Amino acid sequence: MNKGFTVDNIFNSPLEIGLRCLIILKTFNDRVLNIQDIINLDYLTLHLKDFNEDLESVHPDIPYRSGEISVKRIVCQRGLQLMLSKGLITKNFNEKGICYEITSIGTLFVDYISNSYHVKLQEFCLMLYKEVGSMTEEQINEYITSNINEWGSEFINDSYLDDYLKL
Amino acid sequence: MKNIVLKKLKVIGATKSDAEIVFGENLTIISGASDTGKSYIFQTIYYLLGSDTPPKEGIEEANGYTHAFLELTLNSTPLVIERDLKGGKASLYYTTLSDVFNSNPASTKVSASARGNDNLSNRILGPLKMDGVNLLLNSNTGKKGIARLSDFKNILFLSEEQIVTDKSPFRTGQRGDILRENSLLKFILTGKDFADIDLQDFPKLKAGLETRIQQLNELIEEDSTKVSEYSQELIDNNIEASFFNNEISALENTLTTTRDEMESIIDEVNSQKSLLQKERSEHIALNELLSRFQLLKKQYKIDIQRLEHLIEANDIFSDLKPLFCPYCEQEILTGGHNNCGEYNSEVYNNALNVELSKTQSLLNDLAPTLNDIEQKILDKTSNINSINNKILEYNTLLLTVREQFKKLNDKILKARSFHRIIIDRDTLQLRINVFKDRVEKLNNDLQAKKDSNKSTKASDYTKVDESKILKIENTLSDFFTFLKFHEENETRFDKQTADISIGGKKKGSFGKGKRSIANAVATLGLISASKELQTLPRLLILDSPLTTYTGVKRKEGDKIVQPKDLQMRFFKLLIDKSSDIQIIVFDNEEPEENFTHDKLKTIKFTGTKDFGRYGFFPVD
Repeated sequence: MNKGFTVDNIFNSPLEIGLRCLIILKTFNDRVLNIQDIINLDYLTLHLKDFNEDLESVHPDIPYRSGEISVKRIVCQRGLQLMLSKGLITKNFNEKGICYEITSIGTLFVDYISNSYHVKLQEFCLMLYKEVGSMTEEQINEYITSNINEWGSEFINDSYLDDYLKL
Repeated sequence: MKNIVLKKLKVIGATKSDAEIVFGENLTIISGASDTGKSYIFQTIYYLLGSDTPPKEGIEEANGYTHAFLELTLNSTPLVIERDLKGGKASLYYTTLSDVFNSNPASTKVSASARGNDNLSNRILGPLKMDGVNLLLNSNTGKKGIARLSDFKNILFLSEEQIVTDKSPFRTGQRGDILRENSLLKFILTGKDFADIDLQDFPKLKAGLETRIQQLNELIEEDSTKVSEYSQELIDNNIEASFFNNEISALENTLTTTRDEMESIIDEVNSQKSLLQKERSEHIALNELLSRFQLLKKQYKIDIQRLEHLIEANDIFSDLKPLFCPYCEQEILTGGHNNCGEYNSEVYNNALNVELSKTQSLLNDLAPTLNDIEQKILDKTSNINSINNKILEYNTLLLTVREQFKKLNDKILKARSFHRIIIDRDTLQLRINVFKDRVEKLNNDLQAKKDSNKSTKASDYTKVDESKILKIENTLSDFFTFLKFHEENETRFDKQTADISIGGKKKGSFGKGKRSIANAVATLGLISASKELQTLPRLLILDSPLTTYTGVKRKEGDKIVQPKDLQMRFFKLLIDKSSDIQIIVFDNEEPEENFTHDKLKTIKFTGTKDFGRYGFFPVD
């Protein structure tokens, strides 16, 4: 079915998420990643500051941003499916469940796009790769689970704003 | 009526027969030779009526007698006085002498001297209503004393030594007693004593005044020192009292203004602080708003980047041949693909472009908002700074004004303290003036009292009215005229000496014999003059009034005779006056044989055991 495109499905569309999955799979090509791993790494790539305060994030630190981790699974699945459909990634079955791997065409595809945002994503993903170092995917997951409530709760001056806006 | 009558005198001794003598009610003349006991009787009566001196044991016959009794009546009430002849207290019996010896009645022991409340003097003077007579003892101190029986006895008893005195018979001759004696004389002649008269004790008064003057002078000195100190302090600080009130008033007004100013500044500061608080709150809110809009801006920007990324990626992605349908996972070329929501890249691309355009538009629209907020923030910051500066200025001003206030306040406090000093100094000065006036007045009082004290002689207090003097002078003139005492017999009483002059001749100038008679007559005259006023016991005891008198011899025919005219006339006078005065005379001289009278009792002591009564004491 054709869906009408709204902001809800323009951003974080299967294509966009799929593209980010490609970058993650390319950067973390020495790991075996399932969909949850990819989702976690996708969040951390976009919000690297949440992992290391001294680093910047690609996307702005909007409130309740950590909520996106919870809702991204279906779209991520679609994104991976899309990439699969174009042969840019493959999927495998092992003890971790369904895992994904970038193909050579997928690597070429990633390298081909010259958009500055795309390049930035790759840089940040690489930074993340270095940051997580020898952390296992489980450890990364554990890290995210334990901090998820903190990310996006930085707005402390709401009362001032409320009072000002009431005036 | 005779207020006192001596009845009997008796002396007893364990180994002796009682010696007794009975007195006549009117005139009793006890005559006889020397050493027959006449003077002994006189002394014994004197002793029994309260004296420290028992009768002399000059007569041998007196030896062995131990107790004496005197029976008398006081306004007809019987009384017996008993005393041990060696001295001591008196025993009183309110009965007759025979009753005392026969019935052994109760007695009361009293002091024979004037000591204590119950004494012989009071017991005798009381019934005569002559107790409690106030005499002046010291005119300086105003000291008074009560007249004692001995005071009256000094007048009523003329011993053989006293009767010949060339001084007043009313004086004992003790210098210290003159005022006492004059007081008594005044009482006798006028009936007035010194009970109601209060003389101020001059030395005490003087001491009191001088003490007060001294105290006031000390206060004056103290206050003057303080005044000097205050004045010096004012001079040292260049304080002029005249402008003081104005200056303090002006300073206080300025202080009030300054205080108002301070309060106004404080209000302003508080107002600015409230404003500052509001501005700061808004500043924070604006910054918060800004940060959110900036976040939105970032979001728009990243969205634009993402869109551009997607547009490029979509373009390339769409060129890639799909191996299968990502939706139904069916191969597209071999069929089975159900047109199930195929990814339409063109539509997606259009949507991306629309979104890109929209987002850019949104971003553009955001700019002025952000600018506006940033400007507002700048304005707020500027306001805040401005308010802070204002607050700082006000606080600086406040410090200055506070400083002024403090200085003013200190100035006022200092001015007030000097004002206080001026008031205190002026008050003290007023007080000094009051004290000085008081001192002057006290000094005047003291001088007046001194002058008054000097001019008032003791004799002024005891001055007797001329009419009373005249009365006694007239009485005595009559007596002396009757006696044919002198060529002229007009008698004058000298207040100064309390003595008389007869026919212009002072009594003291007369010979001993005539002096004795004159003294006896003068006393008689005094007792007579006191009759109406009842100010003397009506008793007169004379020892040897005639013994020393010898009349001028004359020739009667061939004989040289020694007339006793004066003596006889003397006795006649005594008889006459004895109607209301009991008179007892002891003398060597006796009336002539034919001289009898029913008022006269004569007792003759013969001095011989052969006939008549030997003397007072019985002979075996």
